[in-house]
Amino acid sequence: MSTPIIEIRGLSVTYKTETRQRIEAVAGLDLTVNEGEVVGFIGPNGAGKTTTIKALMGFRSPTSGVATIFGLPAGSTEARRRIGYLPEVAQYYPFLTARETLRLYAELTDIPKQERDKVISELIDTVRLIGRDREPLRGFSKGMLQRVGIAQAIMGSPDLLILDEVTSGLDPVARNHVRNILLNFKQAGKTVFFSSHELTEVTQLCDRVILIDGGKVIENRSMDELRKLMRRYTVYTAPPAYTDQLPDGVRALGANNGHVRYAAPDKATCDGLVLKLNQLGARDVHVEAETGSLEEYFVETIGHKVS
Amino acid sequence: MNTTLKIGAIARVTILESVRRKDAYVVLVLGLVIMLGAALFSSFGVQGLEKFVKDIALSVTSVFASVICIAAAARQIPHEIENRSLYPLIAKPIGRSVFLLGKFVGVGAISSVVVLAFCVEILVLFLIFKIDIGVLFFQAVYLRILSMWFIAALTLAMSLVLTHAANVTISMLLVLAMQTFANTILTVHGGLTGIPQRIAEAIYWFAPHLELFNLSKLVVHEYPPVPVWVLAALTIYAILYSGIFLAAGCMKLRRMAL
Amino acid sequence: MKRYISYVWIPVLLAVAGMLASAAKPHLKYDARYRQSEIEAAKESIALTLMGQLQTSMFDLMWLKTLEYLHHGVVYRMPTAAEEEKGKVATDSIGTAHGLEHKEGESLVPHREEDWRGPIGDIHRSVTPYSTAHSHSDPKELIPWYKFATKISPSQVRLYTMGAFFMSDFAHEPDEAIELLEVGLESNPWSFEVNGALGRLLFDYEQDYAKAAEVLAVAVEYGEKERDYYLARDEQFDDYQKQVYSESYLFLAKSLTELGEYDRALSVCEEGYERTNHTHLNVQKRITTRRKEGVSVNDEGEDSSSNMVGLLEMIRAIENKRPMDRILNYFRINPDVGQVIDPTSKTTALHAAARAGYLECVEKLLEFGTDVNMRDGNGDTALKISLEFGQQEVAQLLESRGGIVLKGNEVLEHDDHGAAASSNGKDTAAGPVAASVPAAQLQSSLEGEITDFMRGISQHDPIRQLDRLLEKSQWPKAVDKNGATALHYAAAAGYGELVRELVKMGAALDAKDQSGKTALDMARESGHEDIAAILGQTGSLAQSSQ
Repeated sequence: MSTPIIEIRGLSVTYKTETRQRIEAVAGLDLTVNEGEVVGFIGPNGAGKTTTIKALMGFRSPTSGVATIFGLPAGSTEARRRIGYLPEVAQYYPFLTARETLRLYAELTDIPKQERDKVISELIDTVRLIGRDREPLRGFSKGMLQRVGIAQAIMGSPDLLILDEVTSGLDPVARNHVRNILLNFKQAGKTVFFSSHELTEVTQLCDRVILIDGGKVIENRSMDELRKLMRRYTVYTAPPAYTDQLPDGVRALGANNGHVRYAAPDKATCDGLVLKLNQLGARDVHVEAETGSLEEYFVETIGHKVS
Repeated sequence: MNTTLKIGAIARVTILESVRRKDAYVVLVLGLVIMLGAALFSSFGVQGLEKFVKDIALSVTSVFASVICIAAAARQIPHEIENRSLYPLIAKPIGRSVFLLGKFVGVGAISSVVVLAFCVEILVLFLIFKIDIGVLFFQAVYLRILSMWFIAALTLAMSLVLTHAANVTISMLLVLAMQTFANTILTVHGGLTGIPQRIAEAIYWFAPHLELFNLSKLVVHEYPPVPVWVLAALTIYAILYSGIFLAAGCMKLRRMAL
Repeated sequence: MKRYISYVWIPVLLAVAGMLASAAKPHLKYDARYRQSEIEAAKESIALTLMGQLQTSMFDLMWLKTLEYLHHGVVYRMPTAAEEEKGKVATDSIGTAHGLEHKEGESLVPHREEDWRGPIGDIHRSVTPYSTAHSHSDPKELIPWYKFATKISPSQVRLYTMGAFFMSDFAHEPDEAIELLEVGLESNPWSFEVNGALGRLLFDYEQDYAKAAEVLAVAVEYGEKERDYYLARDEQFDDYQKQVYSESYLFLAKSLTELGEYDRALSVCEEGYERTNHTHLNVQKRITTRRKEGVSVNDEGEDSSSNMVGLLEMIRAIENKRPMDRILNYFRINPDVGQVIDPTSKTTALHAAARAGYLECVEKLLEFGTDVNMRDGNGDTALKISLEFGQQEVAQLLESRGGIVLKGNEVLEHDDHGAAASSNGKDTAAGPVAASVPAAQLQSSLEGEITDFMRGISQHDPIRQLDRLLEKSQWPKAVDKNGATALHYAAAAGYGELVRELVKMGAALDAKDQSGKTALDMARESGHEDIAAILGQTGSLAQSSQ
């Protein structure tokens, strides 16, 4: 579990805008993705997610720092041979059919000629494009195109999947389907590194989450750790409020439904608060424990909305 | 071997695109209309005006085939980048040079097919109007096809540094005005001395001499076939020049941030 | 149903548009009554600059294209200032038809000895039409470009007249020529040039004298107005305009004579002579007078005016000893050009060559069927002129070909119609002079070529052989090993055009092959009655004129 598949050290990527301004999209980023891990890569718009992924794929060269994949320089043909990649907003040739598109990718992925048809048929089945596979992509919806994209990414069952906004444009059913495809990958011991705006997706799939903002890693925690952090305790009591004597770490959330609410970050603090409230003679004290959402957690962490 | 297959795959898609876009058909039909128009024009007029029919037919071929070639070559890479269809492709284990070469082969092949299709039209036309076809005609076709690959290489390479409009304009100028440009240098040369003369020579040597690949006038005015060494020399020239441009293009594309 | 109601508007709109268009049409009608100079001025005007520019550059393009065709695809350019310093100058091209006059510049493709590009230069010379010599192709090939140009610039009258000239004289398609001129008249009904050229063709080829007279009367009327307009602005007609103007009078007179309107014809002659000083009008006046008086004449003025085309230029070229192939170009334009006296200089090609001591030219002219004892405007023979100017070599040559010294009104007993014959191409060409050239002299140098040429007549298409015929003036007199001439072959093969051309170029009608047959016999034997008719007619004409 500990072999690093993706390793990024001090990565900086700068680019020039059309007005010749230099913008540092990624600034000294460090991250590691280990073998068999499913890592969610999240952050607000313009945080540098796509740029980091482009640097990993070799589409952009870093201004400083090193990125390696399988110990090979990022972007090298050898590294790309073992990667399945789904770009953020990809267009596929509208004049080709789904089958022709996949045939092109099969040829470029070095899938042997005799296996090609079989592989393509299986993929079409996997992404549920059966019946539409001989139509030109021109008539495909955004969601269907994304399925073609996923098919080409998982083609040849690569050791590492790098997916940029994997579930964007998919309806809930399709999203669920994609989730299953990725879970299968995870079960097969493959590594997945994906960026997403759908934090539910991240929560359900990831072993670890990396949050970046302003081109830097803000948080890098395992999902287990995060779940603990996200768990919140709300203590309800009838008024009056006792804000002055609150223990450390407790925040007053205001009144609701004739109750005053307090938030406690962990079980110990919560217990302390309940004790304190009882001591102060509060009436009708009760506690509710919540899992909390990743979204709320990050809003609190970086001070603004993630997506 | 694998690289060849991949170049072939990219080329095949490039050709498929042109086939399914159907712009070549339009041009072929338009060309046929013009040629027949010219032929009828002269047949209603005075008999025995083969030169005129040949002139029109060959000019139409050269202009239309060049237009198709330039349009296809200039469009390829900027279009791929703009539509982001490039990313999933170059994420696969292929070099960017393979991608460029695949595009080159695709555009070259389409243009060659267009030239050949025009030739079939011309041959039918010549058959109808009983115009003799000699060795020179096929030499002209060979050089025309060679020049298509040459133009494809130039335009593709330039599409990596120039904007689409600029590229199309410059390529069209190279194709249509190279003759005039080279002639101007040749005319001016004698009147210059010293450094300006050397500069004129340098410009002449540097410019891609597409005008040398045009045997239309010889065909029209019924000249004897061109010596084989000339064809060989032009073939080598085209390969070298295209090679340099493609190599530069590959280097540029490899370093390009996408 | 509702959907279809909207379509009702379409026919309504179309109807309204149609009505508007027909109402506007008379106002939009293009009154092309502009003079050439006015059109040029209009093109310069600001309002018309854009269209004018477009039209002018298209016209220029056509002109360049015609020049390119004229030079077998070889492109020439004017010498640069640097080249002019080195002594290279553009000279007027010799032997080109009217309207195709151009300067002979430098070849656009550099010659090898001047080329700094080494092998690239060699490649350039092999892939581009290139020639070390300046030569001209058959102007017939320019016709489509002229037709194109008329479509682009319908008001450029010279395009119609030039195109028609090539069509009738080179492509032998007078009907096409007439058609082109009629199209030209639609856009330029006032143009005396188009009217004049059309009348001339109607007279020559259609023998439609009534229509010719009608058209030529218009030409004369507008020509006069045009001339007055020019004179008022201190301008002058160019050579071509002068020619058309004077010939319009001449052919109007001829047409009227043919129609029997002698008095009108005579007044046209007088009026025309007064305005143009064209000597042929005086000749015509005599002819008409004699016709009026009931005297049948062998129209002596006939055809001679057409021989004027290029004659003076040709004489100048001979005087300047221009290369022979260029001088021969004049024969391509008009095979009879060697038989005519230029009215202004009163000299002929042969006399000019004799005076200049241009031996090769004298030889060629004789081969081409020029009478060795032809007399110039002063009545002198070429031998007299050559002796007078001390050209000994030429004198010897002329003497060896039967030349004699005659001057002024001296007449040799057996040469009593010398002057008349010299001014009448047909007679001389078919007459005994042609036969007097010793065939044996040509024989030795031409053996292989002759066999090839003659075989070509019976095997290939006549047009190609016609081209070859025009390249070598000796063909009409060449004899193969069986004693047969090209005329024998052409007659046997039934190529009327070739037969006519050979006769025109001076082929001997009475030449007999080893079996003693003439071309006429051959034609009859092969069942080519049409050819037999041509040969019979020409033969009898020649007989009667002797």
